[in-house]
Amino acid sequence: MKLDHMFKKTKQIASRKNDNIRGEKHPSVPRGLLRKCNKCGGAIIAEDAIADYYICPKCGGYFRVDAYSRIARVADEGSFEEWDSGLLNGNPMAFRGYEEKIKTLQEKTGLDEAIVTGEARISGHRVVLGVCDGRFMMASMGEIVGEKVARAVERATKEKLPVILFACSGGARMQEGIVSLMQMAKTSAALKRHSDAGLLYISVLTDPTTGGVTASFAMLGDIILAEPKALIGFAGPRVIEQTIGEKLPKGFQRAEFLLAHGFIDGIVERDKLRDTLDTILRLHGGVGVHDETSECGQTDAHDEEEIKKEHALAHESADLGNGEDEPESTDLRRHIDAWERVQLSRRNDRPVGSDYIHALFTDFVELHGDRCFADDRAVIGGIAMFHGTPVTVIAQAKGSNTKENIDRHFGMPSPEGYRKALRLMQQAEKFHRPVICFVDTPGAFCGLEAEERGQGEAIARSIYEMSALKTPVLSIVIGEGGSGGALAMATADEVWMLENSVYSILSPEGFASILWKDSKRAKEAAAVMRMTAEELKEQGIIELVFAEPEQYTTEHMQDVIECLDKEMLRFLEQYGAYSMEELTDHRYERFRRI
Amino acid sequence: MIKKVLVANRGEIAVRIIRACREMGIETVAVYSEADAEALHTKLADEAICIGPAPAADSYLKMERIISATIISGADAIHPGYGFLSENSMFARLCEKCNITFIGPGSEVISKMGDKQQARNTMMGAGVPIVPGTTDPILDAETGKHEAAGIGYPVIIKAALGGGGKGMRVAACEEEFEQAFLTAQKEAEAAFASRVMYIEHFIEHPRHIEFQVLADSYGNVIHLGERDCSIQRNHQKMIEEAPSMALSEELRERMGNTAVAAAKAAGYVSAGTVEFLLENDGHFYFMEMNTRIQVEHPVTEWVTGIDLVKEQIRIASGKKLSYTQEDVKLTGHAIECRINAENPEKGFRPSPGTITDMYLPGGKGIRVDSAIYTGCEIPPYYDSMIAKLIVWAKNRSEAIRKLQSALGEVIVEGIETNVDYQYELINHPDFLAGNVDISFIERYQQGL
Amino acid sequence: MELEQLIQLIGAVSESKLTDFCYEENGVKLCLKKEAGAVSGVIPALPGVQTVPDLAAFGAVQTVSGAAGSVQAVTGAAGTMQMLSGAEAAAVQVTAAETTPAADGKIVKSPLVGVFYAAPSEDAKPYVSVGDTVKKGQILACVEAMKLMNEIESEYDGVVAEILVENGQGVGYGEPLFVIR
Repeated sequence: MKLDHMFKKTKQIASRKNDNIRGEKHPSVPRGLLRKCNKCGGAIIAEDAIADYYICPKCGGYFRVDAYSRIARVADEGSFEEWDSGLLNGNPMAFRGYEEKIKTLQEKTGLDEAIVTGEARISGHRVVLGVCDGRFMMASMGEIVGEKVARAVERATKEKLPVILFACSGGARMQEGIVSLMQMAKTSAALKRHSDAGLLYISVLTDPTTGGVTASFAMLGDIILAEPKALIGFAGPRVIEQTIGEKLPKGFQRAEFLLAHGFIDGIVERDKLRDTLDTILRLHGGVGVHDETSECGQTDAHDEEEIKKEHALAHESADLGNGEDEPESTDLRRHIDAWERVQLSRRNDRPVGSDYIHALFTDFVELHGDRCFADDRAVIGGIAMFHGTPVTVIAQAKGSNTKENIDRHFGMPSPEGYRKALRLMQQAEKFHRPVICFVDTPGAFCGLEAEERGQGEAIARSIYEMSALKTPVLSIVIGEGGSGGALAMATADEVWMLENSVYSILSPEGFASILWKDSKRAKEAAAVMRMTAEELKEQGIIELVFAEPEQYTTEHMQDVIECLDKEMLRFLEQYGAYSMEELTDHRYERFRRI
Repeated sequence: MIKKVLVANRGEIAVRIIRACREMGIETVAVYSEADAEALHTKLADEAICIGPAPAADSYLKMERIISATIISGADAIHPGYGFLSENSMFARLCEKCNITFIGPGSEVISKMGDKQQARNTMMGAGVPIVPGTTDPILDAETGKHEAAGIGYPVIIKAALGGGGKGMRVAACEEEFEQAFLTAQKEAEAAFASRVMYIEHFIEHPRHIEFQVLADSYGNVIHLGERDCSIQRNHQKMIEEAPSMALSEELRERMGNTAVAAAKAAGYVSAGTVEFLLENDGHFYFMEMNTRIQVEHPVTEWVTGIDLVKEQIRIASGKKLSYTQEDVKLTGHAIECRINAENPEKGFRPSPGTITDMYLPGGKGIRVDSAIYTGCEIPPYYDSMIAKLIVWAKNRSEAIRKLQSALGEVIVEGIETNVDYQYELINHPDFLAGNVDISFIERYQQGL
Repeated sequence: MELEQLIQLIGAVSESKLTDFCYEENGVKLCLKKEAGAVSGVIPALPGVQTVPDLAAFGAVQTVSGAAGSVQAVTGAAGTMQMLSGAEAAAVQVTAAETTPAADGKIVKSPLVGVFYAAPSEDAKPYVSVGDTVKKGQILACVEAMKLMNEIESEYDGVVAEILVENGQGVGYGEPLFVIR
């Protein structure tokens, strides 16, 4: 049945004549109720987006946030106290119309300049906050912006507070000429002093961060975070396109691009930013009021003899845990020969680095990149909490399936992997955090690109710096300890191994092929290489061996984790008590005697 | 007075609203999705504007398109019907901002009553009895378990933003709690993107009794008696009747007054429904307030003689209530039976398709609200209810006989319906005896 | 105007050499438009606009047009007829379902509900006129929805054969706006 025009429509319409619809009562859409997303072009209800962290509900694109809204989202309610507002702006080049422009913008935005600085609390942590506001001349950095950053950072140094800067900028402020350029030096220098005082600086890059700001304070964070898809670069994309005469690839200079190229630690979605900052601040708990004597001073109380005794005791107990408590496994172990252990160490279902990180630590925040070239997925690094103590955790990471393995380069680090590891270790040194490394690699990545970027140099540098790192370093071989690629993360105060892990100069296949010109004799090679945990302990290369259950998979990690946990606690207590000098001397001797 | 109403809905309720408007001399604008180009509401309205493709999220739920259609058609009000945007406070607020009369309560009331916790707090403040439960949002099972122990088992775990049975689990004892909580929370997160849960005492075998209220903008609030909606399957009502066999005149007055107090506490304006759980011993507890016209409103219309949709429009036009509490007299007995395009033999799976032939009953005391006609399509995108059969007679037993007779006449060809299932149901001895509670269907299905 | 007169008028215009004819009386405006070469045969029903099948029904529509928005109607004869009343220009019975593509043209449809504007501003020139050659991606018009301007881009390369809606007219989702050949 077709119903087109079958029905009679409303005929007796209620009287319209004495109807005096007043203009304002008439249905109409007020301006600004809807806004257009500049990313997807979709019409969105402005309030909706504001309630949702200024995120487009349609495409998930981020709108730029003004400084005070940003502060309201990040800081504890009512905790923000603004500093240095109302600094007088000069016009160093006597640029025509500049003062008027500033005045108009001040009236329009209610801001005095392109950055708001001050002190706030984030989940109770006192921090110094600086937030750029793109509405004010695209937050370009002139004298006042530079001055406010420098003053805020100086005050943070004095009051021993961490600094968090939200960058967003078109770069230097052209109207101020060379004075603007000098702000790059001024802000960077202030941050250097802040860093030298052992204080934390977190830089958060928002869309867009370019030019002189990128080339100064934005890129100097101990930890650099970015918002998804934020444009971050030195030269603007249009300038680059014009210069090289080519169209730039999609995603060029976006946060994701920078992450892949090793320049930022992580991308954090807006709704998770406050929590992430809270976690990072917690992991740096006390950095604001750090007192070096508290850590080193304690050592005097410890008699060196006593420490040695404790050490010996600890070793004994660990051995007990391994041997006499589990006689069956001891029996069983006798039947496993070296080659079998090599194979066990390479098993696909064996727990990998990330499994240990999740099992042993809480609040893990992964930090990416070597700040030079790339983020190597074969190395996972970050900060985590271990029984209330912040530690830096670095793991050579195999995957748990083929796809993950390809992604992680089968746990074979590239130069950038070692450089990331070293960067994180040096960061740990700055913040007096112990370093815990998990070693599991067939060897450093072997290839053209790796050589081009200095694989040998990267390994050497890592060993060199680790040997004198002024913080306790522990390395645990959890699978394959392949050659220099392993040592680059095992120049530690103590090295431990799991029962079926191996650690050697070379793979048995390689050994056989070099010495006997026959890689098929790997089994034979394994037997003579003395590469099993037990043999290495006998040689004094490593300190502890941890028993494994017969079937060692992620489901059966519990016992191993418990033993590791107990020993790690002991390690941190023991080495945490050393003075810096004792610590590095001890490490020096450890390798010197071999 | 409102002159032109845009009906932001489809199906029988859109048709119901268009009819009320036409009787009042108000012009109507229908909005429709591409799947509903031939739907009855599209054809029946004075004007019709296509607002998007078939999925509701792209059409009937697209606020900005509906507002835009209102502006270009020159309508001055929107009737949201039930479902879709009817209880969306953001939509109501958009209407307010655009000077469009939203035929329903204000956005703040919708928002307050839509948040179960806020609603409970409001009611508690007004002295309306509440099922013992948590007052603060619960986010983890550990806290929940602690609270549940205080409330007393069995408990029901519900999503703060939930509805339609999603994000809802019963735990009979402490051992069951954690599993139930985690499942409910997972569902809630998937369905409503919120992990906020609350826990309350679970009342076994209660009746679902709801009171219809009308409130104008001048503070006048009346109730129009109750509806007994105890016959539900998976929290979806199937048969509703008024009055309820479980209410004495005294209890009716007490619950009615409580419903009026509840509406006043909420600052309610328009037609609304206060839902209660009624225990065997006559104790009743506030469950929630529905801030829209209900599917089952015709049973109240029939026993009171009041046209609820017209009253909604009058109230939205700023008029005072046409009735006082004394004017409201309940006469006779009305029963509504929902007819759905679904297959009871295949787990009530929806059965969309083309209605090739149909016959709907008529006669004294019989009303059919539907939007179907021979040759019409039942699209798969929307609710499966295709018609409501409502009967009225002097008393309950006569009404049931009338329902049996009328339902026996219903013929819908081309798709599967629940007509035969409903027919069995209304011949069940427990139903005939008025001996039902909200787990009736569950028991009945086990007996099948 | 009486129905008979209307029919006579349509007949007269159809037979004449006129391509365009407008007539206004008592707030009712009648526009007849003829396409060159389309005199014989039936002009395809405007896709997306529900058509009035016969003139008897048309009488009923006329009543409505006197009161409220505007009504669009296409006769089965060789002419496009539009009746507009008052200043309001809202489309009535706009549907997207029964789209019969114009003989050999491609249709550009409205992606949203709003008001159609042929030009970027009141005194500006229209984006395109009939006969213009357009490229894929070129802006043809704007549809304003809730105070936001949405540019309508051509999905095809070709020549604008027909503009199916008036400037300032309300359009529904999927309503045909342009015929591109």
